[in-house]
Amino acid sequence: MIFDKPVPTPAEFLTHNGLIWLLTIGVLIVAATAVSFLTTLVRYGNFSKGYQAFIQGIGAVFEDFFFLSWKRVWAIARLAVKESLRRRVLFIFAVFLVILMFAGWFLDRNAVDPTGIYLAFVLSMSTYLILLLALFLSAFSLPNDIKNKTIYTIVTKPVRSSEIVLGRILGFAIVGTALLCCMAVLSYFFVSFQLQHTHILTEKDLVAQKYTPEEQTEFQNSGKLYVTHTGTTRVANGHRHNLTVFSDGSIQIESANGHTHEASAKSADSNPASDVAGSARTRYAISPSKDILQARVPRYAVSPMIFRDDQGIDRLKGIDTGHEWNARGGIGSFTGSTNVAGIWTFENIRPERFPDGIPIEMKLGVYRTYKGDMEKRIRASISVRNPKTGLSIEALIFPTDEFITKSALIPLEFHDVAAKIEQRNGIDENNPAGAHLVTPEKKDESLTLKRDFNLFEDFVADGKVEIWLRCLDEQQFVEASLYDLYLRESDAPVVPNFFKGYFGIWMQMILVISFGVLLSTFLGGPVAMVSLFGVIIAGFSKSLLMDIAFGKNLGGGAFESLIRMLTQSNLMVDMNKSWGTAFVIMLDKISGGLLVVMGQIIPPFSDFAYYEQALQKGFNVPLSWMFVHGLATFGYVLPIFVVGYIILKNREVAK
Amino acid sequence: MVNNPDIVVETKNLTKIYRDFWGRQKVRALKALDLQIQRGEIFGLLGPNGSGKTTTIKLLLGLLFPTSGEISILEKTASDVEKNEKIGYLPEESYLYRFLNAEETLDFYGRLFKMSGPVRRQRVSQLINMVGLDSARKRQLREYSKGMTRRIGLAQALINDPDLILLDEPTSGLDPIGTKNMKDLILELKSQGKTVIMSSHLLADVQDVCDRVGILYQGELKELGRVGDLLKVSAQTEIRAENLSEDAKKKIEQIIADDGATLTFSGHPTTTLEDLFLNIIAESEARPGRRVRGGGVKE
Ligand SMILES: Nc1ncnc2c1ncn2[C@@H]1O[C@H](COP(=O)(O)OP(=O)(O)OP(=O)(O)O)[C@@H](O)[C@H]1O
Ligand SMILES: [Mg+2]
Repeated sequence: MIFDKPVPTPAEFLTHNGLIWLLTIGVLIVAATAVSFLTTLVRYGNFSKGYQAFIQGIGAVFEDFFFLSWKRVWAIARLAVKESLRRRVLFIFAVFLVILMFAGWFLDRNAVDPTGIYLAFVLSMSTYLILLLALFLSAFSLPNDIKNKTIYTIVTKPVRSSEIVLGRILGFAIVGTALLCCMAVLSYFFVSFQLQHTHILTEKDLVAQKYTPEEQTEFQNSGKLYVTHTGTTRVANGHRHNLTVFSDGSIQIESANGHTHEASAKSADSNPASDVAGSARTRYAISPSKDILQARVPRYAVSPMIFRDDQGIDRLKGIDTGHEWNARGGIGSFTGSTNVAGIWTFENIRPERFPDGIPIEMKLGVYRTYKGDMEKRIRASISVRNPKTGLSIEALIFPTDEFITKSALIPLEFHDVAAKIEQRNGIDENNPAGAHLVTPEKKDESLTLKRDFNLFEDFVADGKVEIWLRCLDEQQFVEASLYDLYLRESDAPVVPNFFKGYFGIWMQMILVISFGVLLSTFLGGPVAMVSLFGVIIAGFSKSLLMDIAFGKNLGGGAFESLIRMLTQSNLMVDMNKSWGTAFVIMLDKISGGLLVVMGQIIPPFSDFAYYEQALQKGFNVPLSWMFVHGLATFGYVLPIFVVGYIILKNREVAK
Repeated sequence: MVNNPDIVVETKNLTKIYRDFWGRQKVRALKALDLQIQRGEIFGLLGPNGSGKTTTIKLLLGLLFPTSGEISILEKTASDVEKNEKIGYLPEESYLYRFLNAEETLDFYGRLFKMSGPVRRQRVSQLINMVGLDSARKRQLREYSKGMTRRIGLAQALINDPDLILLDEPTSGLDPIGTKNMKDLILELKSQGKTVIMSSHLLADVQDVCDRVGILYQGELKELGRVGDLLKVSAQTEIRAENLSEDAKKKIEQIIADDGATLTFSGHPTTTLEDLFLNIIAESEARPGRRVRGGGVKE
């Protein structure tokens, strides 16, 4: 996969994260209630009076939620919108415009993946500017109201603190959303126009295919299509396209730098089919670039991916070749040997979804044990296997391109080929030492008698199909993980997907606004801003923080690292055992525990980068992601709102 | 507390101590204030700078939380937002959004009340008209002069047609005509049956419009009563008669002399509020700790 960890399905998310959320909120509520009960008792210094006041307070809190008036929330939100419009919003937008105007000068449109570069640029610019805006608006607004005492005229109206907090979050969210939409629209046009180009193609760029006279007559009699010319277009944006001209005059242009073109002969009188030698007057029209932006829909295999070892036994891990990206889940390597393969199982494969065969895409790693001929690429093969009958056929053989996405099509029909039955030897979970689970138990060799096969009839059973990847060169390794090979369904529409790619930024913005409003209910403007900046940084480095918290990183926690730095000790060596080091490690345990708790509160900003990555790499953003992450965001915003409200309600605004 | 709908505001033993961040005491701004304000009266809070007038008003509105003591306002607690439905408040200085114009300002505040759109719009233009800002209704408040800001502040306090209006120094910053208008308006509000609490150190204003005044000095209520009663000089007696014969006059002088008193002046022996004010301050300084002499309610 393009991403280092899978996004949970809505069902997984709701059961797992939903429970954690409820638990966290439950703990928070119990703790907050206990604390406020005790402080009320202390303040009144008398149990029955304090108890009464506490009950009244709880009642007031419920009132503030149930009698919350959307009309007033909207009035406050409108004010927040007006306030932001007269402040920084237009300025931020102007900055964005200026940046786009000059961006074309230093972005390299001749690069191998210009779309990725351009998208990375506009997306990160949008992120920075939007988060900056969210930071300023949310951190300063309420403190300014309190400083200028405009809050006096608000809270002396029948406005609840809940409405003030919610209205502000809503108002800034509206402003930010509008601005983000403008940025997305501008970015869309920027990327598509900047990368738009065409190539020149004349007959000089074509080479006629040489055929013997017999071949020619045979082609013309059979009426089949045949290739008349091959060639390359002229250079534009730093690349050319290879192309093939067919006997009916159609031209097929290969993709380069992530896009293709369409081409046709311009003048009707010059038909290259009748003019094998090439007429001097033939001109070709090449369309503007297509598929600059893509929304590929990957269908991933079900977990786990299986690595079949050289004994032909299924394993959950492949051979560890020690590459750093082995850290990703489920990755492994396998070498050239008849038994060895990587096995992906796909479910729910229906002929309706794949009318032209099953397109697959993969991005493989290569590990060479000996240098050999570096120019010679390692070959690999793809087989399809029926998980029920074991019938298996080698569908494709291809040279691997390291780190480049390779596409291939598994055809609907196979003609004049041999198939065989492959048995799988799974390990019985309950009895790892002994008996293997062999599927299928009996080989039905009668299935292999024929020589023509149909993909869906012969290799798909109950919508399930297995794809086996083999390395064909001995002692070389191919590396792959569960997500490195996927089926490609028909593409999603590109324009909506472009906007979906901004959803991650949008959620970050919502979180920054909510945290900002929360902090500004009890901090002054500049302090709130600095703290909010801290929250953002923590959000972006959450995974690192969590590693430290759980003691996963080398060299120990913060205190141990400090000691190591001062004593210049090696990361890999354990510290000598002494009371001192035991104490330091204990300190780290404690601070790690605190970090774990804090970590529940820090929003996982890095998760939202998935959206940008999907867009940059030309993938469709699934709605299920948006659902899951949207819900997670809401899971943050709701308690933030409640806490902000409680703080503001108990704050003496006139102090 | 008593639930008497005729008592609009009642405080008992209301005390406010300002503390700093560390909880250390800074100022005792209000000391054990007992106050009852009746429906339909105009109550004036008088006192020199820093005597606790604004603090009192903020406590009533729930902008500050009392250190101790109790508040009942419109039969609700000060922290209950629903009381605000019927309250109008003009702060000491007009704290309004400077990027809005007069219409937008009033429209915004109007939206915070249960009020239909047409009623709101009608009230907005009526109030702009009333405070004399017709020609400046589309100008941003940042361009307003102090008096103009004051006027729009007043309009915003009246947007919900409140029953209880708290005005913190309503006449500060106004020109003589504005001051006159303000006083007329306060009397007009009274005639509509509304209750007004205003603070001021401009004695003439208070004298002209208030039914009762309370005089605060260093957070303590020093005097409380009807304006007329307070201004009566109890040590002096005024006798007024028509067609009194010279004889009778002589007799009276004689009686006064017999009583050991001296006839000092025959004329109008009322003092001015200013005298009273200065007296109280002088007395408080001479004998600190003396409490209010009158009762809480008009008898
Ligand atoms: N936020 C505050 N923090 C600390 N002390 C305060 C605060 N606000 C007011 N005070 C103090 O409380 C006392 C009463 O102040 P208050 O504003 O109520 O006076 P005032 O009667 O309204 O005066 P003025 O006529 O000048 O408006 C003063 O001593 C003042 O310094
Ligand atoms: Mg004051």
